[in-house]
Amino acid sequence: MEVLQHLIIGFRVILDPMNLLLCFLGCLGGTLVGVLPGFGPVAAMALLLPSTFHLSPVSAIIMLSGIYYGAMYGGSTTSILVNIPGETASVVTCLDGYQMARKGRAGPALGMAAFASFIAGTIGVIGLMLLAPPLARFALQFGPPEYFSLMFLGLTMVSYLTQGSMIKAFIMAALGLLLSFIGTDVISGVSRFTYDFIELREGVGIIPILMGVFGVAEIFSNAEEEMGRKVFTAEIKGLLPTRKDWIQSKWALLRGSLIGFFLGILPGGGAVIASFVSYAVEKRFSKHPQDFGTGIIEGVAGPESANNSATAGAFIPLLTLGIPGNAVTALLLGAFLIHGTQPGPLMMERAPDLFWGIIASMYVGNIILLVLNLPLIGIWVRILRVPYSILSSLILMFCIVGAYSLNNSLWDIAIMIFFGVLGHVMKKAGFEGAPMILSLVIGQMFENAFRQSLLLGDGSFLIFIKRPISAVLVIISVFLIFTATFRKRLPQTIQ
Amino acid sequence: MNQHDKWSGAIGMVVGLAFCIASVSLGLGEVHQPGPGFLPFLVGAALLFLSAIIFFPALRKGKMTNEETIARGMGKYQKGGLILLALVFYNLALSFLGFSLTTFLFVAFLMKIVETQRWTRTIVTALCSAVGFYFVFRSWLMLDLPTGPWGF
Repeated sequence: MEVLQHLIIGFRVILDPMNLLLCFLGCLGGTLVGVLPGFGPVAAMALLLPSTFHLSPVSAIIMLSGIYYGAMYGGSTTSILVNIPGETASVVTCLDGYQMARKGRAGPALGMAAFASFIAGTIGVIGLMLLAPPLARFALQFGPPEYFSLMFLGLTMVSYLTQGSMIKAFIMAALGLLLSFIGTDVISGVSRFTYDFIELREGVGIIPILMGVFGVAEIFSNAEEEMGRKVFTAEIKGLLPTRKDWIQSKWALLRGSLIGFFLGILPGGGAVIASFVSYAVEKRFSKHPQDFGTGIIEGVAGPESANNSATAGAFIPLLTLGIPGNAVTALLLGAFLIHGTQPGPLMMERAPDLFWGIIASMYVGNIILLVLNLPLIGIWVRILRVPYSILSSLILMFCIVGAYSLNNSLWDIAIMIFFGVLGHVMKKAGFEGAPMILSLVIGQMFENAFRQSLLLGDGSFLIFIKRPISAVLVIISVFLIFTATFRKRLPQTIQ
Repeated sequence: MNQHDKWSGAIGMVVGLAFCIASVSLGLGEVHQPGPGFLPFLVGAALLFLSAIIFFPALRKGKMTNEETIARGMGKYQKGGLILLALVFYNLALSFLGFSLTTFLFVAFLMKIVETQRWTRTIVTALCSAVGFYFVFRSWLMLDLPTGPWGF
């Protein structure tokens, strides 16, 4: 039982009191940002990143991961009680969750959301634990051409899975790559596109851009649309779902967990898409599809389980290949690098305590979150009653501090403001931020792999299709681009 | 959407072209020995091409009744504009006024001018933010926040 031995290593790490405390803080912070609309896990993780500098790598990642999956738990609370998603992966939970609350069943809806999150989160971690080691072994065969093709597939996939136009998503990915080229070129040592700005020599910071696109831009959007926020004020009682609820949702739970996990693995997949797909699938499988949207429990159980198992799935490409698949794992990669560790196929051998510590922390984190979200639900409801005027100023302050504190630089605040405006304007024009962030983060790796491949292939692009693994990845990418023109878009299928 | 596409397409084309030109001057190198400008040139060209796909159809279909939506929408940009103003002020004032005072003024401005709250709530929120953020981030998380001439 190799897995068992490894798990013991992991639990030894997480049961260290300091790590346990950090895991708890991460989960608590994650639930909080999940509950708060307009402030998602990405911005929160970026904000707390500088405060992890004096921690060990494993402690830092444990806390940051806690924020990630914690946010998936918290997001449902806002969806159910206010009909506003606490964060984007809980958009679909609004559909049936809020209707349940209006029928006086807010309690069971919140309870089911928490249980679904717990069950799916645990299934996801088990999947991660079983699937990651063989994948990492397989990834050991990868050279620069395979890595390049894989990253190219990742960018294609992110653009393919986007909810708007694929061309626009590709434009954003190209823009992100161009941004990542700004700064000193590692191979030749030449300063690229920096002109007279000394600040640009080190490149444009990822954190200020993240804070701008995912934090400040959101505030601008909300300023333009006055949203009616009505918190469900009635007393919430009876959080435990009934026997009937369980029977109705058991398949939704299971399907949601599996869909979430596998979509989470795909680059660009992640929790948002997983929740949408799960809802669509439940509607398709249901004997009474017309009831969806009127407040039925399957409509909560499916998407809530999907978005949680997706977070576990999203760790797979990061931990086994060292390549992030979405904005959150891109940020985690940044955290790994800052702490001087490189996730990838060798991490399991070289730093087993790090790898298995993270996995064990997810088991523990899911239990912590169940406690935080069932008995303590009242606290989160109270936070929702804080007026938005106060929340929005606080969120802006968090963004400012987050952007500033990484390098103690006013320049980074300026970058954040610029990308806040840009992100807002682009979102209105139908351009999504996620492909840009992903390509910005992997840009350097992408270019290095590209240049090394060309050197290996003696100046021929054919190297990408001469090597079998790389060829398969290239073919999938081309196939996706080709079919994109004929596909149905996601939002239409859930309508 | 057409108006949006026309503008975003045009800007994308300009940015793509600019990167292509700048990449050429960096040195493209050769295919078996790619230089620092090689991949930026390709990506810039891709951006130019993709933006053109957005731009030209929008240009052809263009001229929809956009004037009325723009006229109606002017009022709602006011709030966003004020928030932007506050952010720019924050960035400029931070090194002179120090973290706490700038934060106080910033939050007070947002509460009073942008959100038009009562004075009591404005002052209390601004004061709590200034003190709270200082303690959490400077004293507890030990971040290095700029201080004003008066030491906070």
